[in-house]
Amino acid sequence: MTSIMNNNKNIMKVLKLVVVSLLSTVFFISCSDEFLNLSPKVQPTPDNFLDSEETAKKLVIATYSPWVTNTQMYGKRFITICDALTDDSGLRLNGSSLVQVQDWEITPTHEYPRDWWMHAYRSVNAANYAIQELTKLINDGMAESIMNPYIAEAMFMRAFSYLFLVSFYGEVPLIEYPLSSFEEFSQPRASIESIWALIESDLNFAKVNLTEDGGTYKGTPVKATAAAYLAKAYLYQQKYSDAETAAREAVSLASSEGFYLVDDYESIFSVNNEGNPELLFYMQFERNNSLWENDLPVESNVRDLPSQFQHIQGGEGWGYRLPARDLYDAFESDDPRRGYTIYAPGDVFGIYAGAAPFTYTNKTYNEDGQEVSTKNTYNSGDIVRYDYQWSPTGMSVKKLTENLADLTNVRYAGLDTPLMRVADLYLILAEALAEQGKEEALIWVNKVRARQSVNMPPKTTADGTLRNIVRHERRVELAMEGHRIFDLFRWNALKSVFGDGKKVKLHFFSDFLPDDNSNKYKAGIGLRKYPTDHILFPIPQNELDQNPSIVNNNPGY
Amino acid sequence: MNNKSINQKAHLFYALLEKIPIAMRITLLLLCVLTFQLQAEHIYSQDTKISLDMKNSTIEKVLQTIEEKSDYYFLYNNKLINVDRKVSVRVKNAAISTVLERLFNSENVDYELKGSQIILSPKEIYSQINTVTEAIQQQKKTITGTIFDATGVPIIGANIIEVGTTSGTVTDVDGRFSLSVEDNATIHISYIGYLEQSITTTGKSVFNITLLEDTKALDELVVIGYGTVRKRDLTGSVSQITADKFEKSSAISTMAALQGRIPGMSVTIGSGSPGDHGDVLIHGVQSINGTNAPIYVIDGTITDNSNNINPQDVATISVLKDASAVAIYGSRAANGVIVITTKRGKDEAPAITFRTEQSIQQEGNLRLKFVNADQWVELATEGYENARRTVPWSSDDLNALKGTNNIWPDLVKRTGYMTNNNLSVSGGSQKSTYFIALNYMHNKGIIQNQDYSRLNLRLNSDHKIGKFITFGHSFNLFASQKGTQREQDGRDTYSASFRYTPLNRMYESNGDFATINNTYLQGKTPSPLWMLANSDVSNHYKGMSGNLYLSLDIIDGLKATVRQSIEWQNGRGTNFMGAMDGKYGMEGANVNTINKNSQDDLHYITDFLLDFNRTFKEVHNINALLGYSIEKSTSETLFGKRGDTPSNYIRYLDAGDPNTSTNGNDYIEWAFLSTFARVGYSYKDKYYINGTIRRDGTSRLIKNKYGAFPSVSAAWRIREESFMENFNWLNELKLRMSYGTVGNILSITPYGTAVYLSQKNAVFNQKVTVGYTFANAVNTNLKWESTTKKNLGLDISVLRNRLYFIGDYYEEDTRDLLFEQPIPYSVGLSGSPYINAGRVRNRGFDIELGWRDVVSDWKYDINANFTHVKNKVIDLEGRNLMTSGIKEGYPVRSFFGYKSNGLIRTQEDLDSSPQYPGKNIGDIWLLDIDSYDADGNLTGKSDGKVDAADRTLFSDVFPDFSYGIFGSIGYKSLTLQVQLQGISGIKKNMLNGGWATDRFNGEPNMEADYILDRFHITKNPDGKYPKVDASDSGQNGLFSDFWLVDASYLSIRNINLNYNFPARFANKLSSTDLSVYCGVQNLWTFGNEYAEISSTVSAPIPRTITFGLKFSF
Repeated sequence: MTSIMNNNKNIMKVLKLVVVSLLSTVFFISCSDEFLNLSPKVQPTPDNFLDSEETAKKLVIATYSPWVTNTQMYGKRFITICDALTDDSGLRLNGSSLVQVQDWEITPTHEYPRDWWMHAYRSVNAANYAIQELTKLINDGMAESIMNPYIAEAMFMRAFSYLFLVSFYGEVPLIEYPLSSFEEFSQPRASIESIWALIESDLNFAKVNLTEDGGTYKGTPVKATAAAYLAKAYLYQQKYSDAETAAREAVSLASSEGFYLVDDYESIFSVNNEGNPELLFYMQFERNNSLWENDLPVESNVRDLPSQFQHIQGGEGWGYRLPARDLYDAFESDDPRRGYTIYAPGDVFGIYAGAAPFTYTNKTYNEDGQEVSTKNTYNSGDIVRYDYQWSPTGMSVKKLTENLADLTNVRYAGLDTPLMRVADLYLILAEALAEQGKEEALIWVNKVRARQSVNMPPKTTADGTLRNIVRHERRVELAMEGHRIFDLFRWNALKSVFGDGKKVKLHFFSDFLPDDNSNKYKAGIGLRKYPTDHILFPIPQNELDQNPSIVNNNPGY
Repeated sequence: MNNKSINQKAHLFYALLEKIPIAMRITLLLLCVLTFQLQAEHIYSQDTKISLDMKNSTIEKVLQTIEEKSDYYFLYNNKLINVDRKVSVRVKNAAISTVLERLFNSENVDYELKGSQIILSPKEIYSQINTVTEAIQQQKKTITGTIFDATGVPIIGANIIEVGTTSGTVTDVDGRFSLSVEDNATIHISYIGYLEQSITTTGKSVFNITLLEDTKALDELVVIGYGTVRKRDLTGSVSQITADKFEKSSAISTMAALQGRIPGMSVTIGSGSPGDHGDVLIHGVQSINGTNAPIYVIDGTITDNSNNINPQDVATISVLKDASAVAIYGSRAANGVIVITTKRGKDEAPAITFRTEQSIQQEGNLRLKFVNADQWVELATEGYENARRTVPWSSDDLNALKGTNNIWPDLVKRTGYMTNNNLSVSGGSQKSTYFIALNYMHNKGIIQNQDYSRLNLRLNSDHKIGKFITFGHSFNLFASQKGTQREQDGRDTYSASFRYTPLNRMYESNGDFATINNTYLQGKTPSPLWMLANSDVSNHYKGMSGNLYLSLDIIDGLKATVRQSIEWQNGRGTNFMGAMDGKYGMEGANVNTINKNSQDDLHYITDFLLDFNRTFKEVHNINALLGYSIEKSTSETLFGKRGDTPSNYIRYLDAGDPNTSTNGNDYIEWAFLSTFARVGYSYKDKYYINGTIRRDGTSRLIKNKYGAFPSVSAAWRIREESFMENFNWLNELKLRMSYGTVGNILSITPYGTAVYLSQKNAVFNQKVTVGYTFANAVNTNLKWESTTKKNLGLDISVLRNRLYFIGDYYEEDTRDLLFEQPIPYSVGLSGSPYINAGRVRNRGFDIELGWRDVVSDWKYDINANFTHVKNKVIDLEGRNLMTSGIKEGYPVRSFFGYKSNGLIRTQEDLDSSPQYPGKNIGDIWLLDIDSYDADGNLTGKSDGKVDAADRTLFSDVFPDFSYGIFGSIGYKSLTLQVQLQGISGIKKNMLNGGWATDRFNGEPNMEADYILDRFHITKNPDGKYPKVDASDSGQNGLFSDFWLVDASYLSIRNINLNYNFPARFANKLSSTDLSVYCGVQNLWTFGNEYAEISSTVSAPIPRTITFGLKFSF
């Protein structure tokens, strides 16, 4: 016990110091708020972000991002799937979800309708956010003349997304401002009219306030773009007179802003001629950039050809986009656009460039439907012709392909995707006129046919109804560009196209294939279950599960 | 200095502090701390060794000498304790307890260690035994012997008495004794901390006796949060396991070694990839979306994993389960706390231990079986036929592949190998002790190119400066490397091997990687063999973790400690993907890409602790802890990427094309500020009451930053009551109760409630152009999830502590559940923001039951634990989260899907009741059990159609019970240990197996052989599984209970046999301990092939056969 006493002096000394040290910890508590207020240092916050025109641009650019960057969207497969749902195209059936697309066995859980919906709404949200924030800037004193073109562009993209949504899904939630609380998150389906009303008002604002030259960013919409989409919106609503007026304005604006029918049809889709004057609107991609891949070219290029021929397209493609015989037959037999769009058996595919001679057994069918094999030895410089063995439909797509040789990765193609071109606009005007019974429709159809590199004879009233002439021209002019599914939806034509009596020929040699060959016809089996001709895609099951305000799905699901 | 001047100085100190930046303030404080200093927790004080050589001295003199030579001082009453008695003592490096035992065991004196105090008191029950060195009795026989502990070290001072007499003796410094006894006597051997033993002397006169350490002894120290307590003083639910109980199990990680060992704690090893450490769950799933992982406290430092420490450095592992045990860790404690201490030096000559283990690994017995080539073709053909599709290959295609039957998942396997080598040195003097260990382990996994190596250096030391200051450190320096491969889409070799069918050959005749020129027979996936040669994903980590402490004994029982903990880790990764020649027909890059990344993590904690422990009037013990903690973590990542290096063997950025370079950089930080306190009072070691509170402030919440987490607990040691006096067979009877609330904040990511804009780019002018928008849904009103824990425990120990039982019943209510609320896609925001969603309850019990004994040369120990926990969602505050598998009355994350009625086998089946759209004969029959009304609400009535309304919940997502059995039996120097672990009453969705269970849906994959029993209208009308269908038009992959399989299993986790060489042999090699052992880990698992692994495409859990050698000198 004595030992404790001896130590007391030392202890007191140290104790005092300890007391000070512990008290000082109290001091830390006092500065705790500073210590605990940590916010992201890498990402900007809304408070410290928006202060200039440059940042306004950034908000608008984000509206394009969902459409460009995702594999379900223009980044890879959107056009492929859209066409495979029509009588224009088949699909390499790699897995059940693709089989379901080709057979029209679409369910609310199917991945494509689900992801399209999701990404379109992300674009809507980005547009809403940009509109909200830029309007705040104007309220804070920023000049309207500077801000309005950006607001107009955001509105254009919002209209673009809703045009897609209303076309594919019908009544959808109409969201016009950024939703920020759980109370707001469950939005009901809005009436078709109210959705179109927003699209029209957005496009009208855009038409007035967009620039004429796109500013510093080539490829952003201009007045003519907004006008063309406004015409399209009216057309889709069957407001033909409004569509005519809007289309005429668009044609005039397009002309004054430097857009015209490009002479060389093939060049419109060439990777070396991006942003050409035919294109009123297109989605852009950057070559050899892993984050900005566009898989469309490699998805399109021929897959099953022998490796000795792969140099012709710069490597082996994946061959997912497969034209149907029905599309082939839709072209007039002398229409050069068929050759620009499709590789069919016997078409020139390229020049053999191998050093050593290569012997290959080509196959085809003769007129009697007999398969004919020919052993050919190719020497360097010889012409290689397309062979039906290279695709499940005996054909491959040529439009929107690209030689892959210069790519660091076959996925990193940079081919831009055209969305609205002058020919499309002319045909919108033509359709608006035709539906009103105005023969002027033929003038606009014939302008498209008279393109230098197409040079097809003009159509006359003797060639059929105005409606059929216009519809035919749309199909062949815009083939394999992803537009036809929109047209079939709005024309309520899907069922008649795939109707019981009519079987869509899929394979080039469909006539010769045995009846049990599944490549013979494209039957759209699943379409039979839809109760009406007015077919839409299903509201995704996720949306139904998470959004109690939506109870009923579209008919047939 | 008077009080006033102290105040003034303090004031000045504050004023000064306020003017300096925070970082510098912390430094200053640390300097203060170093100047003043801190208090070591005297976990090891019982181990303090003392040497005495005194003849004919009074007890008083001896006690004084001990006080001088150690930190101890004695408290006693001269009137009750006779200190004038003269004794001779000669001990060398003996434990203080040994010395006291020898001084007083013939007297009616009890002693008790309390911190550095030793309290001497008269024995309440008078001993019947006198220890005499010279027996007076009539001598019939003299026996001699040596007493060792389990490791072969002689025990000094053990008591040997002849039962029924007063004759007895104690062992000398070499553990030897000699005693005269009756011919047929029974001798009773006892030593504190060890299990007592009785041995008959019939027909034998030389005895070598091994005493088994009594780890359940009530004086055992149990490590808890910020301190230790004697086991008898525990009021909470804490399970502690010491190194010797698991160190021979050859597990790579500490946690893996504990599978089935701790009641209430489950360890799941999801894959057999080297370096996968397993997931730990204590008392069931508390959180729906938040983490359910416990936190770890290693030598006092809070961290979120224990993966980087060397299991052989571990001394004790305590699993803190109930509120009273975990509440001191506040907002992070809801999932339990695992407190790990590492080994430290002792006051003794340097002891060097070398241990080496060599293991081979092979696939365990649970293997997925696959279809062969012929079966594959038959089934795939059938799949196309059922889809009404033309088979997309010709007979020529198939003929070219004839004779090939490769099971690809097996082709990438190999015999694994593991080496684990450990060298440690420990020792010290009275003033300084140290423990240094070096460990190197390397594991070549059973999947090719999956490797893991780790190097650890452990540096622990403790030093005394003067009488009051202790300082020391615990540091772990580590470097590890983990390697595998991947392909374009991120698959590793093993999972990629499931995408190759049995028809795929390995190589072309020219040695090239083989391909099939038909995309329906071979997907565009690189050959796993190509991946092995041309890709690389490897990660290197290096870092250190540990702390420095300084501690100060202020006054009797009051200690102050400052501890600076630091965790630093640098991770460096290489991700290389080779260029693929187009001729292989693979969907990959024409040029290679190299990606290098680096992550630097720094986490520090400064703790200030004030600890008080004192007994008043000999019966009132008060202990208290007050602490303050400052914690911050930062993490910065950098990455760079280029393409097109000159060859697949050059894998550095500089070799790539600068035009292809991309880079990235991210930074994340988070912080905590915490105050905590604990107060305990006990009366006569009989009644205990404890209170704990922690107040945490966190940077993770924008609002609601602060939370306080209190708990109270009490214990009653009924055995100590006077009315229990006569129950001599009962050694312990204790009732424990606790109640408290803790939080779960770590589930919320550092910026989980922050509002920020995300980069969303697009391309303009043919260049990527930066965009920003508000894209992530966030809930700024979030608060932490909190769990109220109630625990009722009972400890019983009988028959000289040989039979023991520990039982705990608990109820844990988690409120403000963190739930990732999926939001409608139409909102246009990504992510599922956390909400506080409601309440989940876990109710269950843990039981541990054991029996141990030593019977002459045999010793055995059997311990079983059994855990049952029932998880139930109690309240969702009106939310409908059913599609996420969450509904009131059901376990969280129940299976959600359709109820099935087997298969639709006939047209009559198809027509007789409503069917899901697209269903046909041979598909799974989904039942119509529910419907929506006009508002979209479920009615509970069938409506004649099978649709989304018919989806329901299935509960068997958690096991009904889990159990572990550990048995050990020893004969002389031979010890056999067996460890079993199992779970029962749980189901799994077999379709989660990945590609092997995709039922020939049109993609060319390896398929599991269950599918052979598929329905076919003519060939197999009684088939168990649905028809194969390339279009899956019947959507048989939609989840239904059809796919639920029983996932119960019982695994022989570990068996090992250890042989300790006799001391005389070991001594010849100048070894104090020489042992060899061999063991098998995961010898056999009884269960089905889906039971143990999370997915069939993750590496199977290997069986490991180990040979080990331990050598100490």
